[in-house]
Amino acid sequence: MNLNHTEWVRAESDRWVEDGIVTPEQRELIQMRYPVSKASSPLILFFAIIGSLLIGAGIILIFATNWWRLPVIMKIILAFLPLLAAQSVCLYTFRKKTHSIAFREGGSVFLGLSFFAALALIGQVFHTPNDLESYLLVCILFTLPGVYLFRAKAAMAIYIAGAIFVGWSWPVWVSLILMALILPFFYMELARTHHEGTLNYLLLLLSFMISNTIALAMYYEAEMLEIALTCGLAMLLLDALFRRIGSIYFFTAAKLLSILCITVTLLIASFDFYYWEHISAMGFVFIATIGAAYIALRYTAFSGLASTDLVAASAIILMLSAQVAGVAASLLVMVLGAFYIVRGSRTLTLYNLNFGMALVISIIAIRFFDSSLDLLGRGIVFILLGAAFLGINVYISHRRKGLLK
Amino acid sequence: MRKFTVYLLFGYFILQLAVPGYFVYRHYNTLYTGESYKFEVAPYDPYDPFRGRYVALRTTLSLYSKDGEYALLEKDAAGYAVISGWQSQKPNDRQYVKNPELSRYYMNEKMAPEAERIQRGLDLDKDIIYLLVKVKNGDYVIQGLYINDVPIEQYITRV
Repeated sequence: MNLNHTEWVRAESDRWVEDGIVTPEQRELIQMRYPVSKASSPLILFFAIIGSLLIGAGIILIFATNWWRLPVIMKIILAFLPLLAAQSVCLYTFRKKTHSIAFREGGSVFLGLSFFAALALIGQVFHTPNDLESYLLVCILFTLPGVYLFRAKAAMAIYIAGAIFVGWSWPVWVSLILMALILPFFYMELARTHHEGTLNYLLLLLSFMISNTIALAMYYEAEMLEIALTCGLAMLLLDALFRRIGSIYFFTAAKLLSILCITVTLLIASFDFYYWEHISAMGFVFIATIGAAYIALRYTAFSGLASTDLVAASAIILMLSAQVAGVAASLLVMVLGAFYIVRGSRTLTLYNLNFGMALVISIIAIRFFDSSLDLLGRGIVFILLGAAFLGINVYISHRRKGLLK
Repeated sequence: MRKFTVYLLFGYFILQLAVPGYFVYRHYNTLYTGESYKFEVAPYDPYDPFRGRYVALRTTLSLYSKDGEYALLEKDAAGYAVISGWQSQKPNDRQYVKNPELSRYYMNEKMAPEAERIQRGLDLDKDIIYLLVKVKNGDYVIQGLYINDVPIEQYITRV
């Protein structure tokens, strides 16, 4: 219970005693029932992290002003100072503030960034020519132990951002190793965390990392559309896996991203009538493998069709119908759009309704201006679609009237 | 378990200090006990998001060996580096470098563009811009960037 609510309970229970509604003993029991939460406020955590960042940046900027005038030994001492300060903060956190999320998160971010700063300053003092990617790789590897030791999710974001950045400059196995190094942390934290926001944060970062590794593995061999479909499908597979093993719904943000990724890919694919000529073996193998894994997983633990099943099926169908990908993509977008509209109307959820309408309007707009189709063909298809929509509308109205009667 | 974590924590801290410490030891040792060589250079001015502005340099002397051979260094009468030969075995009796990257000279955000502006205005027939580099057993550290024997930081403040 947060402070405002607790204060309200305390004030009200005092008045209840005054009015004779409860006895003082009962008031004590009521107040004990609603203790002040000891959990740190997210705002405190946010300020701790931002504070650490600002102090680090401020120190660097102050010394940067007259940096060149300082003797080498002084520069070296200054390079180590933030690191030593961060180590002291972390040691204090470890001894006295293990349960303070603000200290753990802030301290480990400070520690990670002060190592970044120490290496950068030493590189600058001796004018070393090492490239940015090698420097970042060393820095994020040294951030990793802090992530585990302090269960630091903010420092983990630094690690993942760095891993994604350096991944594009190194062979793909480097990215795989970097991902493997952080996966146990995800596993431990997902098992421990029950806070929805934290879960979403963790899963969003995990999905970024997996998508990036997939994109890296496929980048030189596959088409961009295939990479996007594979990443979207992989996220949906992860969602199915999480639902299977942990009964947790993978996301809000990450699931939305994967659905968007696949539907946008479908919209783009609807332009390409010659997709079959560009299809790559790697793209096919990746999508087929992940698609098969998704189907197998859903089949073995079937618990009714989910909206994600339809999105995943669309990706698989698009890949299988690559010879007529343009037509297939258009139809799939229409089906998905109709599905979300119907779902939104039934459950009265506006975001579903709006998403469905956005899909349908997008595909209609794209086809309306599509000069590769002849006017007569477009006209007939539009009339048929319009009639279908009106028909669905009439059907739903009749059904609703029937229900009301 | 907590005792083990304490060891891990201290091991982590020591490693965090040891890695930059090792860089410092090697470079500092070379800087103060190495032999000085001048390398004539031509600068330009890029940016590193973490380490700030630097003057990017190209040495006029070709120091790169695609076979990874060691360049044997000598000095001419003015102290400029001269390559006296190449060899695949690590030399024991004289100074050498192996594909050195004398490509960056870090300056602050005000000085680096100023350095670039100054070097554009130099008369390359009369003015000389060079890197003073300390070399010891294959390690090398840039000591300074000089224009006509004046450190560039002082040269900028004079102009």
